[in-house]
Amino acid sequence: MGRYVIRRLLQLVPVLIGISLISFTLMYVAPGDPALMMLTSTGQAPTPELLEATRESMGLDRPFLARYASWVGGVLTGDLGYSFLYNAPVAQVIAQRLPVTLVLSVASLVVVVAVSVPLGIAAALHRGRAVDYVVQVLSYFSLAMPTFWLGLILIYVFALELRWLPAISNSAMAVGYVLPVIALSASYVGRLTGQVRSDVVSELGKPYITGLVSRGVPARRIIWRHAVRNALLPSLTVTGLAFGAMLSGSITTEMVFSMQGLGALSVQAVLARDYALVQAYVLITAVAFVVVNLVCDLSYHALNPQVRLGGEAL
Amino acid sequence: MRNGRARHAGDGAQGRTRARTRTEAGSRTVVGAERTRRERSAAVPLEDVGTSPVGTSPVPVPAVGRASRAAAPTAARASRRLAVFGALSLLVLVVALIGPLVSPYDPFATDYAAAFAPPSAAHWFGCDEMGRDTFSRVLAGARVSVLLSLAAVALPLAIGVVVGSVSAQLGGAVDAVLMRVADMFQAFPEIVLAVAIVGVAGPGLWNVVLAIVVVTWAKYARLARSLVLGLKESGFVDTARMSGASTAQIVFRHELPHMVPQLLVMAVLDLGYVILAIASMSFLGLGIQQPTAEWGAMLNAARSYFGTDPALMVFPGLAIFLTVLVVNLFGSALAERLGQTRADVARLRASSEGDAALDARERGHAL
Repeated sequence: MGRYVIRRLLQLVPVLIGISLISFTLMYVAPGDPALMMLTSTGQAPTPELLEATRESMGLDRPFLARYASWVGGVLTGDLGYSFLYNAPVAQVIAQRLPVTLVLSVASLVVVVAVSVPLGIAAALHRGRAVDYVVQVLSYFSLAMPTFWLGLILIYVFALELRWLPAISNSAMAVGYVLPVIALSASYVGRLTGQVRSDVVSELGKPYITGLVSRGVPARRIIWRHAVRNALLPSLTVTGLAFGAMLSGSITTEMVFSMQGLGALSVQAVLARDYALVQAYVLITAVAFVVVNLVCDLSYHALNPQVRLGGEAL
Repeated sequence: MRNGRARHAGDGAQGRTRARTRTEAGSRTVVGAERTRRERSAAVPLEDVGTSPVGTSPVPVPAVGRASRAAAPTAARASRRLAVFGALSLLVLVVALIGPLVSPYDPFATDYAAAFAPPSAAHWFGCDEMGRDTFSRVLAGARVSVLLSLAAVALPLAIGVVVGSVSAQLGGAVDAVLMRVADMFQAFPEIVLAVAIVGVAGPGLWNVVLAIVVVTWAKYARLARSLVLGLKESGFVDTARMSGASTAQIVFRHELPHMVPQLLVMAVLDLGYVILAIASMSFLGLGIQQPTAEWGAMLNAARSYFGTDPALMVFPGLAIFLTVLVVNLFGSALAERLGQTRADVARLRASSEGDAALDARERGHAL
């Protein structure tokens, strides 16, 4: 286990370097002159001399790697640049918006798992019967449903017609999150349900199940103590991927529900060409995604008795 | 660890289908749960459709156990499903190609007298805020959405196959570098990176395709790589090499044809996702811009009239939903017909999602 943790942490290094390189390159190749934008945003008339001086002070005349190095140095010390759009340090703008996205993504992830796992198990245990059929139809519907369309439908039905829940969710109230969480989680329920179902089905077909049956172990015990438990372990890693899907989906969800989170911020930043903000958003979500995946993999290893008791992490 | 995976893949489809057939039959007798015909169709060996990389025999290899008897009718059933959803997908494609030619109105012609007109005999889907015929615009949108999505799947598929084959064929440092690069691109949540790329390149039709290519090529590369690694260890590649075939000949004549089923299934299953991604970006105002008729962009425009005319949102949304549904069902039917179970498809996806997911999955299944 210890060796596995170290190996995974070492693997993280090139990936993090890659993430930072891609994020930086995005900004580097972006059209437009950051010096000019800086001057315009501070209301100064951009004379050629002033532009030249600003460029120099911003380090824009230095080569790619030097700029990359100083940018990474800044990121590591919490300096993500300056947002022209909000006239504030990027780190501050992001810190303000982060909680909304975090609550939305994590709550949706919890809903996805809480809905998909029971549905997938139910479908697998009732293969070919009505339950299975209904679950499969639902999961195909969920896979094909555009998140933003579902969001609009939910707003129309529950906010405009029935007036049960607020349509705009920038309030601090928990009820404001109900519709966005439903919209965001619905898109992934289908995929995880299918995954759980096929995992449980394939687990039930394994020789050790035959062994348990022939030893007279009750079916209920076989299903819950052995098959389902083993089948769900690999789903843990899929949960990490689901978190990435939640982060992606939070962009459209936040826009539909007018939430002031990171996703909506990224769209505003893209439309305003505030590259420092876009860059920081990409960097932060990618790092979060990688870290969540790592945690999932590590907990998978910690929970897997084969690895835990065997001591050797392959 | 990599060797371990290669060995596993190297068992080839024959070994895997055999093993699966055995367990399928086993679970039936043991747990006693009823298996539907559809479930059993999973046991149809790849050999039956002549796609096995190992089974060069033209005679179908008999499957083990009771499942073999069920194979024939379920194969027919899978074929029927494939035919139905294939035909529906084809219909979508035909609508995309000729729809604008047969549409009743010019999708851009405005008629303010008809603004917000409800559905009627003259305007089947009603009219939008400028009196443009929604039915004609949905038809025009089909061309943009479907054709762009096809391009956004075909391009990364082609790039991925080239990179993955090169990586597996050359091995060593080239393989290590290419796969680390793939890791980097896969470290981002997909739409997040796509939005950032569009942010830099500027909103627009082809920039969206570019963004999707950058975001998705790595998973095809990973899949192609693992397929080639499996094929490289199979006997017929050795035979070809011994009879003097060049590397290029081996790749194009011997390996590539065997990779087609898996790549095709993955591409079709991805198509629905790409259609949704393009529609999402257009909805956000980052993709296809007004006045071009595109489903996501139409929904974005309809959103402004949410309170007054919510019916505007119905048809573009329905068009996206139904198209993706049909394409996804076609993809699963195709996977089923080619002898891949849902578990295989999940494995395929996991193998394209990176080492961590794959390792965990394989070990999980090996428990």
